[in-house]
Amino acid sequence: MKKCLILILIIIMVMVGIAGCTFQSSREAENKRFTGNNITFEYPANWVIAKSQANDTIVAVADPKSVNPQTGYAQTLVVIQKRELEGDFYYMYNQNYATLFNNSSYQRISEGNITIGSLKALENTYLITEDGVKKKHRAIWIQRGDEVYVILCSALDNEFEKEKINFDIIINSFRFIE
Amino acid sequence: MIKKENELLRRLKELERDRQEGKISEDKYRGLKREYERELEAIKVAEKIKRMQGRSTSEKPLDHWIEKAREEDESREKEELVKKYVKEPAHMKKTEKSQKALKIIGVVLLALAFFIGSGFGFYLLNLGSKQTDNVLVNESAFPTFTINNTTSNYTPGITSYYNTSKSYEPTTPTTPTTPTTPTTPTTPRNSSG
Repeated sequence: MKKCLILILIIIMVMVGIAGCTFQSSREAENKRFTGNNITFEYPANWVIAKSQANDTIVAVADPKSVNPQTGYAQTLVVIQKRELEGDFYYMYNQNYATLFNNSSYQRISEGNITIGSLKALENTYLITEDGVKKKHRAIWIQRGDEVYVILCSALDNEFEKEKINFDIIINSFRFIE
Repeated sequence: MIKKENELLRRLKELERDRQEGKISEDKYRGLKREYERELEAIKVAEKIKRMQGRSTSEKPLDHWIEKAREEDESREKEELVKKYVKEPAHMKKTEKSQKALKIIGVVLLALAFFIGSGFGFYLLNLGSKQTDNVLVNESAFPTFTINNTTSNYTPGITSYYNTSKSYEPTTPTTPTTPTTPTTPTTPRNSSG
């Protein structure tokens, strides 16, 4: 009788545990959504909210599988930063990249105008080489009133194209909350 | 029913007369008398039942009521015998108690299993969100680094009013080294001419 009860106990625990795992995996099929700090966007279900050590960060999301064990930092990520507008939007943009590309580690690939929802934005794609590791960045600059928001997508150069679909989930769903 | 009763009474009278006249033997007389009396008794019982049920006539045959009366007597006797001689053994009471205890334990264990299982499921569900604090990033769209004090050659394609002024951190000046103490000149040796 006691053996039977223990067996039932184990079966129930396993069943509930499996049900929990199944529910978790079914949730993974969908995207997650971040809402806060006047912005909202979707991000891949297998990504997580990350701690950013960069200044002016509103939120950072990253693929936990991309964490470099040597540095401890994620390599596939999207950081959203916000700064007060310094003079003119274009001036601020140009000044930032003039400084940036003056450094030999940074190499410009392309830049242009894009539209995020109903907002016009500037896009800059460039390469960074640090300690022999080549990373690709895609920065999208959006002006909102007296503030500038930058969506920075980053991945290893050879993985950037593969991650583009995940970056697009975030960029295409990005909206300001009134 | 009354007819039957009268018939039986008439037969009993005839039987008594036959016995007095010596027409039947003593054994036969007794046997028949017993039979008639039993039938009369059965009729009385049936009448009694009918009165209790509030019916004036019986819809079932007499044999049914006789049988029923006998069954009732038997069951009553059995019950009395059971009450008198049969007692519940002590170990049976104990078994019942232990079965009840086991049932309660079973229910408690099932409830415990449900809560533990649910807790484990929720733990698995929340495992993903706990990863949040573990992942670090250090990329920035506004990187800060010191640059050489030279004018930039970069010409942006977005606007024409590009300003080359930029901020940088000056390097700390090095402290001048202390001059070395001059060595005392050696006195010239007088040469003897």
